[in-house]
Amino acid sequence: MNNKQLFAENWQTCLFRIKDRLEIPIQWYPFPAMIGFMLVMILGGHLLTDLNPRLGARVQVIPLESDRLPDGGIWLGVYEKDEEIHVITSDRKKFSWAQNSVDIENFEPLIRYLKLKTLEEAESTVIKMKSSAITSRAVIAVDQHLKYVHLRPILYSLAKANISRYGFETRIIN
Amino acid sequence: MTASMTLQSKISKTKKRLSDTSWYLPIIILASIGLMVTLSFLLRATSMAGKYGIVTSEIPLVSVPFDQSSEVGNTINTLTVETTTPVIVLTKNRFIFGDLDAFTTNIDSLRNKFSVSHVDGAPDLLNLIKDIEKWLFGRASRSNISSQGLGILIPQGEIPTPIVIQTIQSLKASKHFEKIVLGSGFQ
Repeated sequence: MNNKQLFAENWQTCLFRIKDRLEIPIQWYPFPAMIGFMLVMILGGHLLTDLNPRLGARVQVIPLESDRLPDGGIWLGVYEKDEEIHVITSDRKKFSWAQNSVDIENFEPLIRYLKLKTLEEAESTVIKMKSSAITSRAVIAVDQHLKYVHLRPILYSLAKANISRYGFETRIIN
Repeated sequence: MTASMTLQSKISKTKKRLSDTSWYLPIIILASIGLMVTLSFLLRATSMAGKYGIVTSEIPLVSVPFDQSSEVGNTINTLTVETTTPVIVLTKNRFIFGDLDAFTTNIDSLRNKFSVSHVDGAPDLLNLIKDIEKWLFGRASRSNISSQGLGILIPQGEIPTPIVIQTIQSLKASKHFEKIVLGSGFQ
């Protein structure tokens, strides 16, 4: 075989190989985009309906059969961690003080927050010309390991914020 | 086309046929759908709450005079804390109950207070309710004091909160108490 024929044969072989490679369909290419799009849709769909306010709050409430808790109200989760009492709210604000604290100054941030919530509720009542006993009520989810002495600052804060109606959250187990 | 090129073409076509991965696509689609469904369930499970209840309580308000002729004033249902309001004190060993006067003005007297001891360290709520019922009935018939439906519960500081909440729930379930006020202690 002379050089010319050899050359023709080599580049034609290469050409066939390139043609074969380019003819293989890349099946995976739409999937990263599709997975990303579907993840965004699912996350957006769940976040739009609001997250459970109890997520992230290490509060184990007492299991007790009681009146069903309606949605709404000023939710406070109270638990103990590292010898401090932590209070977490439904909008993820956190307050804390030492377990044996008796200094009223430590409760001022919580009192300010509660006053702000009652003010928002009052404004909403005026604008809507309708008030709801449920939304103006405080719901306290107390961890089972706490004692009553840890609860007193919370009740004091509610009283200072002019919230007279409150309740303790329980877990209904069928 | 030479014989070798034809052969190579046939070889590559055979290779392509043998490496046919057309079934990859349905597998990948099914796996993606399965992943989305699993993620959806997991996210929903973490974001959805279980069933929750509420045990309500009240903080008393200072009464102020208001216009009796207005419609708003007439529709507000109020209960007043009086000297005859029942008070239940929860200590580590027992319940002590009486009226408010027995824990304030006449605190030294022993005859105006009653106690129900805990059983094996656990509060005896059933007997407490029964004794309170007898006491309320007795004072209604003797002194004509009617029960308003208001009670004051004063737990000691070291009582665990689940016991406090259960006590409130039991008192409200007894039908003698419509509202319970939690007190922080005596001064």
